[in-house]
Amino acid sequence: MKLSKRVHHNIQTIKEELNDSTDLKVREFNLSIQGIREISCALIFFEGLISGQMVTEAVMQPILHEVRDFDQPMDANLITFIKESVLTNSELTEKNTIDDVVLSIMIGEVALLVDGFNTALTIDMKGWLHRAIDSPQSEGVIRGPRDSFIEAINRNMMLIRRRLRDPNLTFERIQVGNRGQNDIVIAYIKDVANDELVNEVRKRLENVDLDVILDSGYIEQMIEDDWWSPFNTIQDTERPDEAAAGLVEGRVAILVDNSPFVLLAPATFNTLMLSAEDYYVRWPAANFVRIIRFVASFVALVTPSLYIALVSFHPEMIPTKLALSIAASREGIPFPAFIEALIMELSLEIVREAGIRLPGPIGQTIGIVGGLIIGDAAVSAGIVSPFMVIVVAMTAIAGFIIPTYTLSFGLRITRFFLMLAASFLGLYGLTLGMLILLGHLATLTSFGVSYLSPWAPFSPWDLRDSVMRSPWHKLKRRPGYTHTKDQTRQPLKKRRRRKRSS
Amino acid sequence: MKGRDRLLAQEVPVIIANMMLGVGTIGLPSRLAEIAGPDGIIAFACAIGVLVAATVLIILLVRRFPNQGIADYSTILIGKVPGFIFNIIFGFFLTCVVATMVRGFSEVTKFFLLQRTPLEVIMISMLLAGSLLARNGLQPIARACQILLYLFLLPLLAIPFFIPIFETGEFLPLFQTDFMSMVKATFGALFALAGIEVMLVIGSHSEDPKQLMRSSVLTVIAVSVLTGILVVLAFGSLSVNQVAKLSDPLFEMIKYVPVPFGIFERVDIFFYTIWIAATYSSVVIGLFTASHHLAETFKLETGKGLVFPCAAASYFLALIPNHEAELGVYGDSLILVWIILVFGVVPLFLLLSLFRKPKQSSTKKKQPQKRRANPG
Repeated sequence: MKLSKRVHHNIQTIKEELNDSTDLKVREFNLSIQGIREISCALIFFEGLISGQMVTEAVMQPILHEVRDFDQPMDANLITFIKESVLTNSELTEKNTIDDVVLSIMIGEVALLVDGFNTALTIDMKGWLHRAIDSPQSEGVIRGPRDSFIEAINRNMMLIRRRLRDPNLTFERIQVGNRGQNDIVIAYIKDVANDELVNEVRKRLENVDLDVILDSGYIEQMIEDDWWSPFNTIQDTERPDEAAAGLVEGRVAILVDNSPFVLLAPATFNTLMLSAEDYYVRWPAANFVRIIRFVASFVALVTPSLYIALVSFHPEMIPTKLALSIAASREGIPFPAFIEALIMELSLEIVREAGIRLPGPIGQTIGIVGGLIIGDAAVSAGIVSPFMVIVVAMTAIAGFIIPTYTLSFGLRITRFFLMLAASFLGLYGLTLGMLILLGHLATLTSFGVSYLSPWAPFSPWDLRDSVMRSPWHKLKRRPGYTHTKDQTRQPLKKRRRRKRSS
Repeated sequence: MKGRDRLLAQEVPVIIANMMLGVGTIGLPSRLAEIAGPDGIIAFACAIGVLVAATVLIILLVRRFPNQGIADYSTILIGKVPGFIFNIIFGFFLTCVVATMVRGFSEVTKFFLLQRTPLEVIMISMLLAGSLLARNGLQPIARACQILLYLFLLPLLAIPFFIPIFETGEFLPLFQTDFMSMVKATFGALFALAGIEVMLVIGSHSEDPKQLMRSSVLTVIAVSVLTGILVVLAFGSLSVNQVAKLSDPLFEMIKYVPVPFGIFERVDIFFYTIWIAATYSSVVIGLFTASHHLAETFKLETGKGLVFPCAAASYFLALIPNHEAELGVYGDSLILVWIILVFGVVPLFLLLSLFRKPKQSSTKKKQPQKRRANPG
């Protein structure tokens, strides 16, 4: 619907469109021009999205003060004059339809309506409150930056831009959500990221047809390749340095307003297993930690099911002394090993979930109470064996080493599947379960990239940043799986050794 | 058929190696020792020669008809009806191969690990697990096989360094076996090493047909030599006489490998898990090949819908042998069919292809886009 030339009519229509919401503020005033004529004007905005005081100081006062001396004839465009000569805000747009004005008001802009003009001026003054930049909650590091993304998308863009002062760093803003009209930004480095990848990301985002996008998790689930898998094929991070590193690798970042998690695509199992800190510490330390991480992930995945398989089906595999010790500890336990493991694993999951929901200090207490007291009580009561407690504790600790929270979810779910397989068919069942898991991972792709890259398809160059990482001066190329336009990240010539000064 | 999955140059050897390493590897030393004694090594060398010749013939045929499976060009070469009948028989043969693998695997698994579990449960579980991956197409299979190959190769290459006893005298005297026994032993070795026939179906998916001959022959030789090393190790460490008496001597041999730090009592079970993985990859490739070939025969969009029927057929075929000895007879019959196929049908098709050139139009129609290692 086009804007009318009558300001009151426009106000009425906008109010109707926005259901006369209580937080909708309409500030009507009269503009006196050279003391001869008066023009009705209105500023419309949502309280909370914009500070009323800011509107008065940065919009109303300059208009009242400057327009007073407007000496053009009546038919001259007052709106253009205000836009070009009065207001100093960085983003001022002229809108001609009610829908556009309503949308602008909803995303935190002020609409200026002037009687006699069928154009509105929208002024970007987004100034809602947001929390301060904090340290990351789920991706903590000892060495490395401590800032993290917040819920304000503009701040998040700034956090990336601060790290990448590259003119080719491109942010593309689109709005998704029929009702929410939420801001989503696609970020990439124009002369690095593969055009096919960027277009594919854009296409998938444009196809999202949800009511509202409350978190990047919505987008992640709507654009991923395989929605039925327990494993995430898009990386989410709350670390700006991780996002910037991803962009430099030729990946595409997706920022979602109101979400402190930025998505990175494509993602492989390998990238999800790497931590930002791996690149900040020296390479021997990074390699040591990476090997431990991969081994621990395997331990977290397999230990309970291996225990079930060995105790229930193949006790002859365990050294005699240990087998006797386990048998003695299991004496009087009323449940088979699988039920015993299931009780403990489920208890662990409950404690973990409760710990997240409860306030900080109480959550920690619950963890300790759950881990120590309940575990000890269960052993004393003869419900579970002490070995089972060790197995579960080992699994839990090893599970926390996985750097990506969403990946650890996938592995936790898979652990139960492997336990079930081991309880039915022992070591054969466990092996078969692992093979099904491998088969599943082999079918997964992330924006067409194999989830098992660089191991399958085998990419020797990319192995330099996999389970082990080469020193920085050897990492001369960007990862091959992103098929970047510019493949080198540092000159390919040999590094000269520095001569020692005598 | 719908747009073909492409195999990267690096994935062709992976598929061949995974198909070759499987159920038969475990029983191979015993079979050779039983029939030919120390001459089993010579029979094995002969089998490698036969296998290389078979590979050359198969790849020549595959390269003659790029982007076409055997189901497509057999009808061009021998006519629609005979071609259709041939394709059905070949599809049945491929299903029988899967059935033999699954049955042989189940027998060993029951003996070693799951004495109280019915054979049927072991067979069904393996077929179901294999079907899940086989349904997803060639690229995921190639990727999974690639990972599994790392898993096989590292322990297989490490084994020779950990075998504490090795008697070189076990290989003498040579040339004591009669010709027929040698032929029989060679057949036995072929049973363990066969697998290259899948290239008749899968070979056309190769992205780089020019490299196909070199990579296939080298892979066949490499895998055969690796298997040969295991046979030699079994003969040298356990003695030829003892190997002849054991049904699965490689597991027995692994028991001699000392376990560091005494964490586990029996390390052979870990070797056994690797063997499960090897069988799984063979079953997956076998099921994919059978279903894909039948889909091409019946001009279906994909072979996805035929994977479970093929698995079910394999299961019922696997139930036919009453015991392990009877399974051996079935295995021998399959090798006979294999020889007829490779040294009878394939040369015939090659000969006919000299007179009937492949249809260019259909080749062009099926020409897919090049696949990159990781499309962006």
